Amino acid sequence: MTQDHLPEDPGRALIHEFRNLLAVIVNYCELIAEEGGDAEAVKADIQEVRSAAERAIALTDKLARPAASS
Amino acid sequence: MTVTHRPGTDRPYAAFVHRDIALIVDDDDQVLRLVKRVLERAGFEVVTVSDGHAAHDAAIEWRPDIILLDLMLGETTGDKIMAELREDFRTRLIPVVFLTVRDSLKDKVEHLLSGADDYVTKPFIPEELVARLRAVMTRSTMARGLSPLTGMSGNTDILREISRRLAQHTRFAVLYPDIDAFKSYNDHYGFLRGDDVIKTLATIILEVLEENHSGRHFAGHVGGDDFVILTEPALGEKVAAEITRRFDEAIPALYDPVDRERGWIESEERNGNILRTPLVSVSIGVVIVEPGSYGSPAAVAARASEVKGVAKRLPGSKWVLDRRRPPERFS
Repeated sequence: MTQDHLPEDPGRALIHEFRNLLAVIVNYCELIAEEGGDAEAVKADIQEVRSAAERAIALTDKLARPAASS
Repeated sequence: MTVTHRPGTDRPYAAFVHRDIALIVDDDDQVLRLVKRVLERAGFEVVTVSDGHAAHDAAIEWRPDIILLDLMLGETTGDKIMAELREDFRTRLIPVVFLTVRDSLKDKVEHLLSGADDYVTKPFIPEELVARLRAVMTRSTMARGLSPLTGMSGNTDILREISRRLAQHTRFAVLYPDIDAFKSYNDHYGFLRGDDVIKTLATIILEVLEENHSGRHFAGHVGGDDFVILTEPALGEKVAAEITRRFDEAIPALYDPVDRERGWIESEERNGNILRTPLVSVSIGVVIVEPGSYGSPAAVAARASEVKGVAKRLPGSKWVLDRRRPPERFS
């Protein structure tokens, strides 16, 4: 197992989490585009996008100081 | 494979809804919700697990048709979980697809080489995710020769496993269960309900093996109502006894109330005679294979089938242990 596969590597874990959140945002945007007619579904999806974006903002604090998060 | 009964839940044995089960393992709840939503819309039944350590247990309990594993799961990794799944006979045949965030090509190739069936990157295109999962499931069922009905190993795997044990020159037990009066049940209730009887036996076999833990268990579905179980000699009779007991407990529920109460089903023969057939039961032939006494898997199967034949001549559910001296050398 190479160094960059170790799960305890905080930098790698943070990058993983950040990419996860971006992926969630992108995917929900696509779902919203698909189900334009269903207002309730769109509302719920926007909530997911918002929540992912807020988590990403909180994460940037950790990205600025990765050592502090481990 | 469709699971018809899960221990510890109130799910019925007889489920007519054949929905594929996907187990999703990801430590991010939002990702779990997203993937669940996409797969449910595509007709899957979805089980989610956010703790990587719980993935193996969930796979045993739910026996999913496919597992989606996030590569990084807090304290553990998708690689480690997959290794666990591959080492366990109950889960080793379930196809695994890795869910990864966009990463280097090198990573992806490595994971495919380490035994994953495919990978999907996040963000994913919903249609592509579903298409890939379906393709992996079809491919793995065909490539591994699994029984499409029970998801258990089929003849190719069974043959390979018996050959392997013969070549190792170790003692092992072969159990050959077969359902009695199954044809009458099938004719009376139709093949869909007949399938439920077979799946019930498959589930019981897996449950019993699971509870009598051993690294030497193997279970396969020959086809129809025939199964083969391999285990260590000391557990052979115990496993056989437990399967017959549980089968008898489970079976009445698969009958209509009127048939269940009187204990038989009635059918009319061509000549107008009314035929009464008792509730289905299971007969198990048990053979202990001594090193060097059988020259081929076919010889083992023939002996097991013979012993099962003896069991079938006795009424009800029962098992018969082969008590004759092992043959010097069957070829």
